[in-house]
Amino acid sequence: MQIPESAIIRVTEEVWSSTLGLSLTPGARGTTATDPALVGRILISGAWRGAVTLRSAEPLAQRAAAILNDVPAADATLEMVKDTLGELTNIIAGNLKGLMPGLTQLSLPAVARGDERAALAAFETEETKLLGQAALACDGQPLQVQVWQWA
Amino acid sequence: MKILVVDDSKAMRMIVIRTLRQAGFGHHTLEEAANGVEALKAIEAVPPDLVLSDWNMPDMSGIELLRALRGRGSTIKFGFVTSEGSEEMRTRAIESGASFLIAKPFTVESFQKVLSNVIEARG
Repeated sequence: MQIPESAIIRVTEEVWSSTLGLSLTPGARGTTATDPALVGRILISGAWRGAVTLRSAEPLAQRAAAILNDVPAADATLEMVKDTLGELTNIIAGNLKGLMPGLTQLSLPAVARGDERAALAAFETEETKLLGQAALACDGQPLQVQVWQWA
Repeated sequence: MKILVVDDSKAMRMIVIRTLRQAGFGHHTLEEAANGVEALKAIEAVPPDLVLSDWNMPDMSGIELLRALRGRGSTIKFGFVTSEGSEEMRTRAIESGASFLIAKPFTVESFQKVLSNVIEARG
């Protein structure tokens, strides 16, 4: 099973537009948000097991947190930024979950920054398979959504 | 009328409250709780007229909160605002005593459409 890039883009654009009021543009294929960046992850369990990750350039995550918390970007704390990225990952995963077979449920979000990311990257192993991904950008700041399945 | 917004994400509680105001429900008293346990305490202290709850939360999930309320005989109106928007989840929600489920991402219009059948709007 593969998750079409077009489906990931459609879901992510809708979440970004409805939740943040921001537009996304296609990102260059193969590009990822480089440091400083944050990664949000939601595990999906049940009839289908996998994960959805959202990697965002830190300035973009900070801008999103400022919008949702109604504060200037400079006043968005790391706690706000992680909370916001986790919630955005959760909404994207919830909408992509509809493409998976059978009854499934979402985990609570985990969000990591910098060195903490190693813990979240643990599932990027031989035991997991990348089913689909999309690279996007918001005013030049990259973000990437990936869907993983446990082998 | 008092509305209790329950979500473990502070950012999401802020969006829900902002959307309630934009949808014409800002004249109601809007309060917050960060999970089911906190919500249950708040409800026992002063029962709201409507609970808007996320589904997945630490300590006590939204569905556990709903079942706890119904198990105690509470008839408070209860709706989910969640990214768990599949038909299966909607069925589970309704069967457990919820009045509705609003899927994230939501819009002001979706709040107006669903909530106007439940609470009074103004403006």
